[in-house]
Amino acid sequence: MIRQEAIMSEKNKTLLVIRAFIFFLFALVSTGLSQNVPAQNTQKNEPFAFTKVELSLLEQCDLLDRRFEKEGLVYTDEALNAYLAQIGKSIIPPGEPPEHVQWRFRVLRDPATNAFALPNGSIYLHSGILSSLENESQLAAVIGHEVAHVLGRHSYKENRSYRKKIAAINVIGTVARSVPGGGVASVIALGAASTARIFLTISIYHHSQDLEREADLFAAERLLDSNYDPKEMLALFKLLDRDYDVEQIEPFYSDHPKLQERIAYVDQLLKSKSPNAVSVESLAAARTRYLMMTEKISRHDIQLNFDNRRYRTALARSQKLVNFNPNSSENMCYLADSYRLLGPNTMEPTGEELSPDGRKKLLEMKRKLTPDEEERTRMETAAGQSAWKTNRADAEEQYRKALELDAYNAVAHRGLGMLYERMEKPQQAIEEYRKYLELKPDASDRMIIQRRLDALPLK
Amino acid sequence: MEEFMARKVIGVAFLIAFLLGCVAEGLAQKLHPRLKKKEVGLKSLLLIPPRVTITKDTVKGGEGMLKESEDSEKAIQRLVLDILKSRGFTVIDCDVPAGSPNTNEEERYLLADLQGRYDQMYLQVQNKIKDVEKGRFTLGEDVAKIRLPSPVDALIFVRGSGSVPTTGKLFFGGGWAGSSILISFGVIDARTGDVLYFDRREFIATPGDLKRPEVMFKKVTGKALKKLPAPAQNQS
Repeated sequence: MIRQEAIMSEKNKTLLVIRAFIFFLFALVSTGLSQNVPAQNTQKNEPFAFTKVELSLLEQCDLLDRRFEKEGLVYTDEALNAYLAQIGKSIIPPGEPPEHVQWRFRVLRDPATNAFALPNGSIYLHSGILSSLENESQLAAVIGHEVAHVLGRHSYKENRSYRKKIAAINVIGTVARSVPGGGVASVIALGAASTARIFLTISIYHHSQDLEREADLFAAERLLDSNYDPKEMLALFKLLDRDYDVEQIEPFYSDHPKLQERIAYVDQLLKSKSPNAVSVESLAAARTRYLMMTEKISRHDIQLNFDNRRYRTALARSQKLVNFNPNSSENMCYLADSYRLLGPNTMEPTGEELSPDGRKKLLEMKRKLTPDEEERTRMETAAGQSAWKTNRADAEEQYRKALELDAYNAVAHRGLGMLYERMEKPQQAIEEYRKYLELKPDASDRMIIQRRLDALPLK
Repeated sequence: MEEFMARKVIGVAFLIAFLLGCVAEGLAQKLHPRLKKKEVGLKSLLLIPPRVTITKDTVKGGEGMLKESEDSEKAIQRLVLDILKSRGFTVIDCDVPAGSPNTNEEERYLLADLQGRYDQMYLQVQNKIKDVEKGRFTLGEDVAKIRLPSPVDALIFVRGSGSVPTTGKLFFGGGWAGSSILISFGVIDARTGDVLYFDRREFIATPGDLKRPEVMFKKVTGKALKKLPAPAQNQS
C-alpha cells in the first residue's frame, strides 16, 4: 500500500510538472511573440524610460567608442568627418537629440560593406561602405537608416525582447529537464522545449526585421523631404548585395529583410509620395563632391581589402577610383596592385563559385588554408594559370600607366618589382626594387624590400 | 531508488570534477621547428597589447563586460612583462594609447592591422595547433614594418576570450557547459612573421574572479610562458 502511494505520488508529481511546464511554455512563448508587434514610428520621439540594464548598456557603448579609437580602428580625417556630420545634420529631424544621445559620425577601418549605430548616437560607417557607395544620396540613405535605429531606441527594444526570450528559453529548458527521465513525458517535454526554442529564436529575428524595415522607411521618408534623390535608396540595396569575393552564405534566417522585399516596400512608399524637385545638375554636383571627399578613404579601404584577401572587391573599388580620377597615378597604382594580388583568381566569381556548394567550398578553403596554400592550390589548376596570365599582363600595363602619369611614383616601382619577382624575372625585379629604394629611402618597408633584393640572384 | 539516485549524482559530480581538472591543465603548447632546433634565438621581445573579450553569461543572455575585459588586458600585460623580464628577456611594451605624442596615425593603423591579421591567422592556428610544429603559419613579412628604437627578435600576441556564468545561469542554463575562458600566447618571428611558439589554455572562472584579474591570470600566464626557450646569448 505504501509502495502504491509512492508510485501514485510520483505520477502526480510528473503530471504536475508537465502541467506547469505546458503553462510556462504557452505563457512565455506568447510573451515572446507579442514582442513582434510592428515597431513604433521613429519620428514620434516618445519619452523612453531607461532601466538599469539600459544605463549599463550605454556605459558599455561609451567604452566601445573609446576602445575602437584606442585600437586604431577609427579612421581619422577631419575633412571627411565634417562632411559626414553635415550629411547627418541634413537627415536628422530638427530639434534637440533625445536623452542620452550625442550624434557622432565616424569611419571604422573595416572593408565590410556595413554601417551601424550605437544607442548613444555614435554612427559608424565602415570604410567598405564609403568606398562602395556612388553618390551623396546613397550616403544620406545609409545615415538615415542608422539615425532611425538611434531615434527609435531600437537597440534597447531589441535587447529587451532578446533578454525576455532568452530567459524564456532557459526557464523552459530547466522545466523540461526537471521532468523525470526515462518516460514518454520527459521525451515530450524535451521535444516541446526544443520546439519552443526554435519559435523563440525565430521571433527574435522577426523583431529585428521589423526594426530594420522601420529604419528603411524612415530613411526613405527623410530622403523624400530633403534635397536627395530617394530612388538612390533602391540602387543602394542592390549595391549592398554585391558579393565580389563570395563571402555570403544564405542564412536560415536573417535579421534584415530580403533584398527584394526591401526594394518592394521602399518602392511602394516612394510611389505613394511625391519627392522634392531636385535638379539633375545639383545631383551631379553632389555625386562629384561625394567621390572627391571619399577618394582618400577609398584608397585606404583598398589596402584593407588587400590585407583581408578580398582581391576582387579591391579590384572593383580601384576601378571605381580610376573611373572617377583617371589622371591619378596613385589610383592607377592601386588598380595595378589589385590585378597583381588577384593572382590566379578570376576578376568575377565563376558560376561554380556562386552555387551554394561552391560558396561552401570557398569558405571552407579560406578557413582551412593559409593564404600561401590557397594561392598554390589555385595556381595548380588550368583556370588559375589562365587567370594569372591575364592578371599579370593587366597589372604590368597599369603599373606602366601609373609611371607615365608620374615617373617618380615609388610604389609603382615596388609593385613592378614584386610582379617581376613572382614572374621569376629577377633582373627586372632587382632594377625596380632599387628604383623604389632610391625614390623612397625612408620607406617603412625598406628592410623588407632590401631583404627581397638580397635574396634575388644577381647576374 | 533514492540510493541509486544519490550514487548517480555523486558519479556525475566526480566526472565533472575530473573533466574540470583536465580542462584546467594546459591544452596545447607548440614550438616552430627552427625554435626547437635552436636555429633562431629569442632575447628581445615586443609585447603587442593583449586583446581580451569576456562576457557575462546570464539567464537573459550574454552581457558585455568591457571594463572587466580591459582590466584583464592590463593585468595580463603586467604579468607577461614581469614573467619574461624575470627570466632575462628584454621586453618592450607596445601600448599605444590614443593621441599619444609618441606615435602617429599610420603607426596606430599598422598595429591595428597586425592585430587584425593575427586574429585571422589565429582562427587557422586554432583549427590545427599541431601544425605550428611544421612551421605552417606566418603573419608575413609585413611585421617588419613596425618602427622601433632597436630591433626585436619576436612579437608577442595574447588573446583571451570566454564567458563567466552567473549563479542564475548555472541553475537554469544546464551548469558550466560552454562557460570557460580561453587564453593563448603567440610568439611571432619579427623578421619573417612565422609563428615560433604557441600556447593555449582554458579554465573556468566566475564573475567574482574577474574582480582580481591579476590573481586569475597569474597561474595560466606563468605556465604558458614556462616552456618558452631561455633567452638566447649574444643577441641584441
